[in-house]
Amino acid sequence: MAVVQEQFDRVRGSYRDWEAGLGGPARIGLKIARYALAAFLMAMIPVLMERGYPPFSWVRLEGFFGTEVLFNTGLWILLALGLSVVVGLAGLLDLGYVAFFMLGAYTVALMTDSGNVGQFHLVEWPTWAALPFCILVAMFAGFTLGVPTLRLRGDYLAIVTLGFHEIVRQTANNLTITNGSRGIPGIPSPVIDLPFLHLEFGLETRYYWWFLLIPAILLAVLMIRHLDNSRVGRYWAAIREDEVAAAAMGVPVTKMKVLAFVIGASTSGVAGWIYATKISFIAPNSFPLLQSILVLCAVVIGGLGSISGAVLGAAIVIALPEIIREFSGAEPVLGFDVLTGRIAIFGLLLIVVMIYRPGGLLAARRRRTELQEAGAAGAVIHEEVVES
Amino acid sequence: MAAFLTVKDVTMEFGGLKALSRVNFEINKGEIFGLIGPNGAGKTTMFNCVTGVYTPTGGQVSFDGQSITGKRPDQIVDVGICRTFQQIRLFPNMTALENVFIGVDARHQTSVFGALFRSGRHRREETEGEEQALNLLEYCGLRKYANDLAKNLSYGDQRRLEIARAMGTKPSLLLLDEPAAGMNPVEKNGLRDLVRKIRDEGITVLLIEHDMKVVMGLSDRVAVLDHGELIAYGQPEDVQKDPKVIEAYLGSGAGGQAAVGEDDRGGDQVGR
Repeated sequence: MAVVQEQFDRVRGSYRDWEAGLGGPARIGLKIARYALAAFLMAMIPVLMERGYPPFSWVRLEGFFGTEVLFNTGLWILLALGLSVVVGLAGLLDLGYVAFFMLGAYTVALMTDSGNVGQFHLVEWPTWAALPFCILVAMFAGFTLGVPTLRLRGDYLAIVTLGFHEIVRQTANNLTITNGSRGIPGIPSPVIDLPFLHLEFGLETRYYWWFLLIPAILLAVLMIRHLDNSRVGRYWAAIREDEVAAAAMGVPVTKMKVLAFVIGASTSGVAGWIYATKISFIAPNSFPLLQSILVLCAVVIGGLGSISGAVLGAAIVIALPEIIREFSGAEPVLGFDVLTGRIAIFGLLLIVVMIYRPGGLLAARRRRTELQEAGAAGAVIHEEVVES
Repeated sequence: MAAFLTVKDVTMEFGGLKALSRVNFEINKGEIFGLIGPNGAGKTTMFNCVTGVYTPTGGQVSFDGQSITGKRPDQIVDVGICRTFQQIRLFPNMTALENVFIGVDARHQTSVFGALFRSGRHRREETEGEEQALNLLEYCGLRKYANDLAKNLSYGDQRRLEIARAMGTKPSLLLLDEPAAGMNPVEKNGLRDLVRKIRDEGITVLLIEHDMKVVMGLSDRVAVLDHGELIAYGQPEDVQKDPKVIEAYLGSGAGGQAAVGEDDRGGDQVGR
């Protein structure tokens, strides 16, 4: 496995060198082509699913069911990408990430007309108009969570973020304007109404949401890659490796940590908007704490600090239990009911992955070396010794 | 000549422990200034007070005419002070080049939006930064390790990489915390040359060092700390003869020259 990984890194490295040697227009053209190809391949997935073609027929992801799983997977890819900035790049353990997702969803619910008498609305705008505000609200929440928790590290930060999730959820549960635990139904679906294009998102046209997710995911990937391969990404890596040394080299640690929270939250704002408009009903119970843990699972399984890892991790965490469900027969196998026990099987798989590939399935190069010597720089207690 | 770095009445207390009490010294521009003292004297605490890791509980630190007391470490880097660490604190899982790049980045201007939209400045700084980092590695004799992970470098090379990384921030005052610790005599000689070379570029150096041969040979002036107090301050030759210094290092009744002489001999023997 390690050999395969090395070879893969080598090939990818030489490809990147070749690409870096190209002139400006050629390089940009290649980049556009790469993203266009990715978009095309992603757009083909529901087509293949609907017609029952492989590889989706092999795992029985077909028809309506397949598309639903696809949508959920895409949504979680978006969440995992955002969280991978916070946990993977900046190294801040965030256990309450879904709070931002929830804020995005509630923002669109409160800014559009649900058509329910008595439901409070801040404004009654078209669904699209709420999208930028969903992103801004999530980012602002990232900022407000980031600023007071900066001095905390590791376990302490994890506990505070865990609390943040519950605070947001309980607030929504108790406020009158969010309709408490009954939630907000009837969130309008988006409509694209252009001279040459008229698309109404609805139950009959469930693909459309996947087509919304494609640009969202690709933009998130582009954003994170650009940040990672820049001064910002190097600063995050430095903070992750040794915060004290990073500060001594001029890294504005506070600012960079808040930035990680803000950037990370932005994708969940979009995800919240997409989720709320598709499901059209949200309630505090749609966002249990377990979801925050699951997003973290996705990031860790895929590989911390790795973008492709976040995508793969989310796909596994969401699609795998559904695939196992499809393969469970009516009859128990050896007295074990696969249908009800599918989460147990899933959990077992997670444990196996973590034992054999602690860096995740597609670990980033830097993270791989970090994990090879467990307890090295990352685990050192960052206390300056008065004098040794 | 006006002092470059002025440490005035700096006091640092940790609860009841007084790590530094009313320490005063001045460093002139362009000199190599040695800060010595027995273990636990407060030398590294002094460094931490200057570089913003600690805010001194009393006193003032000013640099180039402006007060830097209470500034954050990254702001201190901005004004032109950078340091190395006594216990090596490189970014172990980054390459030597990336380590220096972090230092070089301190002088870069690319904003988040610049990085997101791949601005012209971003691209220019990426290329220039890499070139600068490579030059600094060359300068410190580490060019051939550019793509090796920092943790895989030898101890002496890691110490020099710390210097290269700090040099990346284009400091006008460089603080070296025991740069020769753990080095063999050959490496120590190389280090001495490197420190002189850095000084000849016009960078002022503040040096903590235990190796008397290194510190006395290099420093233009030295200050001696003992139990958080400044006990001697001046030319290396005078300080070496100061009875208080001799007592601090060897206890009362011992001869000062013996200390330095012994250290010399030990170093030379290994060198041969």
